This record gives sequence, C-alpha cells and structure tokens, in this order.
Amino acid sequence: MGQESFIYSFVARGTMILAEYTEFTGNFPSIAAQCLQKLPSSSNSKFTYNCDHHTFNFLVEDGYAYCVVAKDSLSKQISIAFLERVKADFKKRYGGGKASTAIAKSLNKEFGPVMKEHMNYIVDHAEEIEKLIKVKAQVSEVKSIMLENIDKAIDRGENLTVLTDKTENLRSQAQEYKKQGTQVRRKLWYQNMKIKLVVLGILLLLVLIIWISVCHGFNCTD
Amino acid sequence: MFGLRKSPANLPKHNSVDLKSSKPNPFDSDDESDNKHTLNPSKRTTSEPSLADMTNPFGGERVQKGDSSSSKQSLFSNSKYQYKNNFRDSGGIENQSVQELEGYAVYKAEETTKSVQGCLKVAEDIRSDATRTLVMLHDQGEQITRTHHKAVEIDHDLSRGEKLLGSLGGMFSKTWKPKKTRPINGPVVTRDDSPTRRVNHLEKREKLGLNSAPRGQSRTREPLPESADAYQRVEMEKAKQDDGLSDLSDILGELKNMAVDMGSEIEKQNKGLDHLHDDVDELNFRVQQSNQRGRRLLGK
Repeated sequence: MGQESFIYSFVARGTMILAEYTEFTGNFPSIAAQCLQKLPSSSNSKFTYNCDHHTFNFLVEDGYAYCVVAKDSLSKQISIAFLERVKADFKKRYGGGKASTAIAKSLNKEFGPVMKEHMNYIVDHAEEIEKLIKVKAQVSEVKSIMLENIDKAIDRGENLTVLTDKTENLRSQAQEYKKQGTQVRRKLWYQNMKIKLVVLGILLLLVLIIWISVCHGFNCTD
Repeated sequence: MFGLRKSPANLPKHNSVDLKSSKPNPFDSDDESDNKHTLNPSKRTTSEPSLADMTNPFGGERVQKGDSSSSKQSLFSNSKYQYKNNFRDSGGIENQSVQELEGYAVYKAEETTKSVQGCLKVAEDIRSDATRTLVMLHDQGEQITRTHHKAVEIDHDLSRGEKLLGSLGGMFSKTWKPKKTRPINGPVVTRDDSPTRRVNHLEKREKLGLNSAPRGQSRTREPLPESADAYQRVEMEKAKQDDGLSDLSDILGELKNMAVDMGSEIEKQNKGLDHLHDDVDELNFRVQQSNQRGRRLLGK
C-alpha cells in the first residue's frame, strides 16, 4: 500500500544516523540532520518541529534519537506512536551491543524495510491507534488530576493534624476554664453567704440593742 | 482491532501469503496442498499437533484420529500452550502453517478482548471506589462545617462568660475588658454546590444499584456460528474490543469529572480549615485570657 503520510525516518546514535528510510526525494533528510545536531542528547524526551507543512518528530532515549518526518495533517500522537514502535523494535534487534558499534548508515539494509513496515502498519491502523492514544491520554489525565488530589489530601491531612493539636489545646484550656469557673462560683457563693451571715448578725445585734434600750435591760415585764 | 500486537514487520517475508494467488482470501483456505502455506512435517517438533490429523482445531470440526473428546481437548490445550509460548517449542512463528497462524490470531484477539474487559472491570471498580470516596469527602466537609458552627457557638458562650467575668471585679477594682484580635465569622459559605448535588446524585445511583452494573456487557452481540472462519472471529473480537474501549473511555470521562469534584471539594475543605484554624486560635487566646482573669479573681 502506498502510504504518503510518513515521508522519512531514521535512527541515530548521538548525531550519527545508523539507519534511514524514505520513498521520496527532497531536502528533508538534510533538515532532519540539522535538527538532530541541535537536539539536547542528554535528556530523554520528545521534540516536534514544524517546517513547510511537515512535522519533524524526535524521540530521544538513552543516547539514541528516533526521527520521523510526516505531513502535518497526521496527528502528532500517531507520529510518536510510530517512533515508540521503531524504538521498541530497534532495541529488541540491536540492544545486545550491535547498535553501539555500528557505523553511519550501516543498518540501512537491515532496518530500513522494518521502518517501512512500521510506517505502513501505523497508517493502516491509525484510527485504532488514535482510539488507544485517546484512552491512554484520558488515563494519564485522570492520573495527573488524582496525583494533584493526593497532594491536596496530604495538605488537608497536615491541616487536620495541626487543627487537632489546636483543638486539644482549646479543650484543655476549656477544662481549666470550667474548673476555674466552678471555683469562682464556689468562692463567690461563700462570699455571698458570709455577707448574708454578717448582715443577719448585724440585724440581730440591732434588734438586741433596741430591745435592751427599750426595756432597760432584759427584764421587760412593765 | 488489537488482535495481533506485532506489526507485519515481525513476520518474515517467506511466511506471508501471496494475495495474487487463486484464493481470494487466504484465511478461507483449508487446502493444505499448496507449499506456500505449509511446511513439511519433518520440520515440525513433536510437541506440535500435526495438521494432517485434523481439519480445523478452531472450527469445531472433529479430529479424525478418534472421536474422543479427551484427545480433542489435549490438542486444543496443546495449541493454547504453544500460543502462550509464541511457538518457541515448534520452530517459532515463521515455521507455522496459515491455519495455525489463523488460530494464533484468534487466540491473540481473544486474549486482547479479555485484557480490555479486565481494564473495564478495573475502571468500574475504581469508579465505585471514587463514588464512595466522593460521598465520604462530602460527609467530612459537612463535619468540618459543623465543627466551625460549634466554634461560633463557643464564641457566643465565651462572650457571655467574659461579660460575667467582667462584672465580677468588685466595686473598687477596675473593669476588665477582654481583648479581641479578630471577630469569629464561622464557616465561609460558597455558592458553588455542584459537588453536593453530584454526590447526592451519585448516592441515589448507588442506592438504585446503577453504578455497580458493568456497562461492558450491556451490548449484546450474536455469537458466531461454529463454522465461522478465523477472519470473522477476529473481526468479532475487534468489535468487542471497540465496544470495551468506548465504554472504558466513557468511564474514564466520569472518573475525570469525579477527580475534578474531589479536587474542588478538598480545596474547599482546605480553605475552610484555614479559616477554622484562625477561629480556633482566636478562641484559644480568649479562653486563655478568661483563665487569667479567673485566676486573678481566685487570688483575691
């Protein structure tokens, strides 16, 4: 089948292209090579460059760069899916050490047709792959939201711990307050009682004084 | 759809079926005379069931050597073992006949369907857990609000206590005024009650038993007849996988909404807790002051 979405693909070690494949002619290999020179080789990541209605997609991992040039009508996810497949296949075939010693374009004959097969497969199954990518994206979205939620829940847990300490402190203060309130009430009750008794004593004394003054003593028969 | 995970690149060229041959569909071929499709039995290992002995192990046809179900069963389990083993014991994928590869394709398709169904079940379990978590979070949010209301009640009671403590000084002592750094406002009422409504809705669904019903089984597909060829069976499995994936996508959409609701609920609670912290600090400060006043009164 003549797929025309993928234009060119290569696998490189550092900046040395080990295998490449294309069915077209054009200046894209040189542009891709220029992009490869500028790639930060240390990091494991994905890069996409746009140029003249084409996307240059790179996947860098463990010192190897996997590239595909595609028409910009093809979604980025499909290109990345292709690169992931190529990476897995390349590692499976040459992971034993052959890739680390291979010279420039020495794997063209072996790995070129494999890249072609992968291109055809990806284009043939684009719809299905997109479905899977969509589900994967949903999973990662839910995962990232839940990771944020976990962070928030941890903060909430810490908040609750601090609040527990504060309320515990408040409880002990409130108990102290209650105890003191009881003591104050008791003290004031005694004070009140004392005052009442003193007033009663004074009243009795007054009555007694009046009695004595009226009756000229305790004998009041007259 | 996902029956064969490996691309055609992994199958060597000599094993590919010539599409220009007289047969329009290579999967329909039961005729093993063509050397393009089969290999000589001498190349086979002993563990592999010989195709000469049976017509189609997957089409439900009888094994010719004997009608005993045990021999049929052993052949089938043997094939299953080989599939799980990726034909390692019988010369690898390259050395298999078209018929065996058809069987392998069906097996792989069924395995993939099973894994999709497994994912769906896991997603449904997660959804029910998420529903419970959301309900629990909502309940905890209400508890925090109730606690905050209690703090307001404590504030009212404390104000009355402070008034009484202020009036207990005696005639000649200077009046005691409690210090208030800030007023206690109580819980912050937010207008957005969507999580509450959502939780109520989810609770209703849970009570009605709607959440527990697996959606993957909702679509009923007519089972294929025994005579159906491998291609049809793979296509049917693909359709099942598509259904499973769309169900999974729907559940993931729900899970995302639930996760967002959880996030907003936790955030709301965190804000509420911050306010509650401040109010509890204020109450602590004022109770401490009241205690000092009480001690002074007791000391007189």
